[in-house]
Amino acid sequence: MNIEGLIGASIRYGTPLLFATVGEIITERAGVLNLGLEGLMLMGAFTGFVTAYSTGSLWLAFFLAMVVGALFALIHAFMSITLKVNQVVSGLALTMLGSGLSGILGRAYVGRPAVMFQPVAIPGLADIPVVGPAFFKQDPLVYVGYVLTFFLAWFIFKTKAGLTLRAVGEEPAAADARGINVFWVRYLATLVGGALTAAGGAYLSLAATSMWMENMTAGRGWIAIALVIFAAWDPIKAMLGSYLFGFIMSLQFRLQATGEVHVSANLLLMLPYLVTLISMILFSLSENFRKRIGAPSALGVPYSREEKT
Amino acid sequence: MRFKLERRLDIPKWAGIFIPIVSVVFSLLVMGIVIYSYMYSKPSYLKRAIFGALNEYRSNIMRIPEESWNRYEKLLKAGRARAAIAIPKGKLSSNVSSFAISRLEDVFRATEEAYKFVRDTSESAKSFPGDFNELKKLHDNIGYIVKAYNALNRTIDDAKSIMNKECDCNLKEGINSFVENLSRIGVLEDLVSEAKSVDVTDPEKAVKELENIRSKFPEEVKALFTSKMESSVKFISSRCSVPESSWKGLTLDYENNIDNAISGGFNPILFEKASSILNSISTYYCFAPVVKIWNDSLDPLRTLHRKASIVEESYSQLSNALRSSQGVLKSLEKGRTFFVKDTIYSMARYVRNSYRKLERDGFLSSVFARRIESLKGLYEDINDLYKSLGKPSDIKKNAEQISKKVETLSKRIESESKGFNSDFINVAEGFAKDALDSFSGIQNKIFKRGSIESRISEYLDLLMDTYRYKLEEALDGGIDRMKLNMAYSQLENISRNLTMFLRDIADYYPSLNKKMRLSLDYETYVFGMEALRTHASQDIVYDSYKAKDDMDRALSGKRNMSKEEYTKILHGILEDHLNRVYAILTKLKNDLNSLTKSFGQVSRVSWIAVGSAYKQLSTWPFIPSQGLPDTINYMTPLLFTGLGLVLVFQMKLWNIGAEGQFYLGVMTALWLSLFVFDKHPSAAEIPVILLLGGLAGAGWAAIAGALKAFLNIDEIVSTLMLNYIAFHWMEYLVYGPWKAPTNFPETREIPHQLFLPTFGTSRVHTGILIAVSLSVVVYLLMKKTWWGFDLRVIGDNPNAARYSGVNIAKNIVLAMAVSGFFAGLGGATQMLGFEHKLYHGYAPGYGYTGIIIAWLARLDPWATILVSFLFGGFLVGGDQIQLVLKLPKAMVVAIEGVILFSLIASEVLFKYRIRVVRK
Repeated sequence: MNIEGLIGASIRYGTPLLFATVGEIITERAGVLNLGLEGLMLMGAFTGFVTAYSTGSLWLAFFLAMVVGALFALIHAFMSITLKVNQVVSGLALTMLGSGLSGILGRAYVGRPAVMFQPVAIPGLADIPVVGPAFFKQDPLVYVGYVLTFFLAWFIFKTKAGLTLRAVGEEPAAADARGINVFWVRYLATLVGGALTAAGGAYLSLAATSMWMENMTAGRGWIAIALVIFAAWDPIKAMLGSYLFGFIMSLQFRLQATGEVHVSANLLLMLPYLVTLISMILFSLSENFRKRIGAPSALGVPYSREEKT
Repeated sequence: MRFKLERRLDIPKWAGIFIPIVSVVFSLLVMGIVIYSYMYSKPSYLKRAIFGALNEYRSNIMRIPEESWNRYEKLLKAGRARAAIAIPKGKLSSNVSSFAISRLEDVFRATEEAYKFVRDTSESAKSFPGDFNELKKLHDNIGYIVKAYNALNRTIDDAKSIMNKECDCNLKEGINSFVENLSRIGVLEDLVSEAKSVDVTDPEKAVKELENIRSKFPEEVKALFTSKMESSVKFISSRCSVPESSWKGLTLDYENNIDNAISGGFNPILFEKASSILNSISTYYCFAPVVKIWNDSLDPLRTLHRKASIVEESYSQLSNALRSSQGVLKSLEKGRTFFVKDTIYSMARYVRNSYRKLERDGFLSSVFARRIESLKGLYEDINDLYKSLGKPSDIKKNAEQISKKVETLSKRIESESKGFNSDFINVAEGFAKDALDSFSGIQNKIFKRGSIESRISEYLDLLMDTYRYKLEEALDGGIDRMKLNMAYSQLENISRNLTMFLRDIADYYPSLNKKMRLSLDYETYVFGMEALRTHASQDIVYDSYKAKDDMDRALSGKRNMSKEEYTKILHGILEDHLNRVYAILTKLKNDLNSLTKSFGQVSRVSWIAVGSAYKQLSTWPFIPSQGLPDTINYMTPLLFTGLGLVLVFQMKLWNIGAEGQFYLGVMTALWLSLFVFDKHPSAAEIPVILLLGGLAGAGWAAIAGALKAFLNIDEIVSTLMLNYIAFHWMEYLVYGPWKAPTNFPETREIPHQLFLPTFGTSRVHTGILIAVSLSVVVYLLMKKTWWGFDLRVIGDNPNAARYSGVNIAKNIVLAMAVSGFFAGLGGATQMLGFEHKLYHGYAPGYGYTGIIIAWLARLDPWATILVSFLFGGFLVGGDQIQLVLKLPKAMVVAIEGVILFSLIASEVLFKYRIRVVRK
């Protein structure tokens, strides 16, 4: 098993998770809990595939997938921000709607081949031994993932807009008093989060494979939700977490391919969830940790000016 | 601009009941729209697809010149010019046959599928009479009757051996098996009660009584089948106004098969044959007799084609012989005598093979009797020549003489193979004449009026002329296997066009309702479509062969071409070929368009599809003889998980882990049944298994509860994680330690003593009783105990609860555990009552659906019963719609999502008014 190949595969498996996770981080940083990632990713994967299949343009496909993701997230935003309904139920409904709709619409496209992103080596960097081929001989979307992560980390923690985002998630009332429009910030964060999540889905049908399958995300949306907590709402840690889980997934596939350790493959697949659960416990056990990471205090709580709780 | 929610104060509390009703109605409307647009959009997909396929075909074959050049050049350099020339030929043929055409076929299949839905739609409109359905069910369950009969025989044997003191067998067991098998399908009640009353203590008397039953058994079984057949035929005949007499052949066939099956010791294979007749009746419903006559008359032609392939093989042997003889002549001419003897030997062998192939077939040996004789003579002569040959040196000496002899032999072979053709054409024409005669026979038998008759016979004549033409073409100048196949598929096309008949017949039966006629229209449409596409794809394949030949010819004899020259030649030929293909496809598209126009009722049928979907959804799941048992079986797990969630949602604790807790119950029940109680399984252990299954679920949920209570970890995420952990754990067990020794990743079935009892002979298991009685428990817990009150207070106002001294942490863990107990109990019940084993990918989603149930029921235990029943009906009806309308499975999931959305949204919109505030 060559190490470059394994790392490269981990990154490829991790990238859809990364997109979805950073998307959800933005949404949750603004205090909105969106459990519909699975549905959003599926809609993204489907839209991306259909666009690529009928136009042949990969970037247009990627873009349209994000637009559709934002539109779907708009449903959730309207439900949870304007109507202030239970966000858990709304998220579940979004998952069902997304996986159902993509299943219905996508039926005609199952098994048809389309174009896909090809790896592009970054001159100079790709020649570094081991690291080069693993990190810098990937498809363009992987690079988009790198840039996006660092940009978001900078955005959330170093800019004023990022501060606004965090304030809305932590203390919406205070933010409101400060003159921030809590509703629009939350709407915007949910839409952007939805678009990025759908981009993660599109990665699956545009770069990882070049075809469409019903339920092709296979639970990645839920892993991303776990990853957000695992990453403590920090894009950089989300990147590490995504690639780590990507590593587990690719390892599991490799073990499966060798055929003998089929059994442990299922146990390996259990790992991401187990790790998340354990890390949640560890975080909450240590007072120090809790203070340092801390979920947005207003996560999942709809904000309304009139009803102070 | 801001939105503001303003509470409506003018709405009474009881009006809340409209919330679920409104959302369900809304979701069902959405479903109708989705089905309509899905149905409507299917046909338009095909037109785009046809030319998409052409493009793919083009890009695929235009690579040929470039790709083949490299190898061509390499081979040329190696001096193998002949091999080099063969390259483009092979390339095109493999491309055409394997990829491009299969791609085209793909598209065509899609078109076909696009229109099949119409047939399926109308299928649901034609409901079969009850007797007919029962008959079909009887055939499905024929195994039970056979088993009962075997059990009867066995018991009689046992009783006899008891009388002879040979064994102390237990007669009760055999009788029980007889009774059980028959009552499982609910037939022959008289015999069952007779068998029940047999006295097992007195073997002599028992033998007498049992033999009495055995003597009656075949008659009763036969009566069972034939009486239902009779009434079914009566019904169908009256419905379709096809005279009963035309069913005679079919019913006779059916009865004969049943007779044979019964008298042959209840032979399941013969029952199967009878059942296939039944199937053909149900497929063609009103027109089964017509179809049968048609098929009977087509049979001789089918035989002809089967025989034709033998004749063709025999013919090709002769061609081989001819080729060998020419080889001999050439060798002799050049003075190379080394292989002459061997070649003459193989010549003889080819000739012998040729007539032996004919001889082996009884029919052909009589048709070709004279030919076989003369071929035998020819073989003898060649053999004589072979024997007279000496050493190669001798052959060299007598070369001239031998070559003269071979030449005459070669001429004889040639004339033989020519005679072959004329023999065969005679036979073929005889067949075709027979077939045509029987076609007109059909017309006489079925159609009574003049105008339609002439139309149909005109149509048929035309089709048969095409067939005859293709056949002649195939036989002209040698027997061409491919053309023969084309003729054969033309024949099958004609046979498919039988539906055209049906349509015309439909015009003639005023009693047929509009829907049926529409469906026939579409059936014709589909078949017309198929005929068109078959023609087109055949033409394309044929053209590709032509292109191949063209390339071969253009390249032959040319050496030392430059790359430009080479690719130019091939490109030119391929372009021509593509133009012809384009013309074929354009014609196909136009044909399809005009066909669509003449039947242009896509929107009408799409509406029918929507209507039939609603009808299926509202009737099928609730009719006892149809989907009701399934509805109740679906309802049971939903009620379990729903009840648990009702309880825990009361205190605003969002347990979305019912799915995982359900799995824990499933796994525990399976583990106990397979590995703990497997030695002496008995029904007394069922309560223990259910209880432990429930406790496993409770424990699983308590983990999340404890995390919430003591570490303040969000229960939504933790229960979600636990779901996935449980799922992968289950997968691990199914793939690993619990895997049954089969190829499929599944476990063994649990011992049948541990199955939950069913209600009588139905497939409804008694788990529903447990579930319903649990809702009483939940009601009492919630409304009549302090604990229930506490839970509600915690949910509504945790601070108030804390101040009044309620232990919130304890209650959270407890409530989660109780909720998990319900889900786990549901899982255990499902395992013992329904699944009986686990297989990979088991994820029924009852836990997630339970959330919708609890929400729809507005957290009321009584309403949960009703809602889970209706939702079970929705799931069963959804399955039925998928089956009948060929909708994707995802439909039900999407509608569930819509229900959930509209439920939570209408809840808000009901209580509040949205006001836009500008500032």
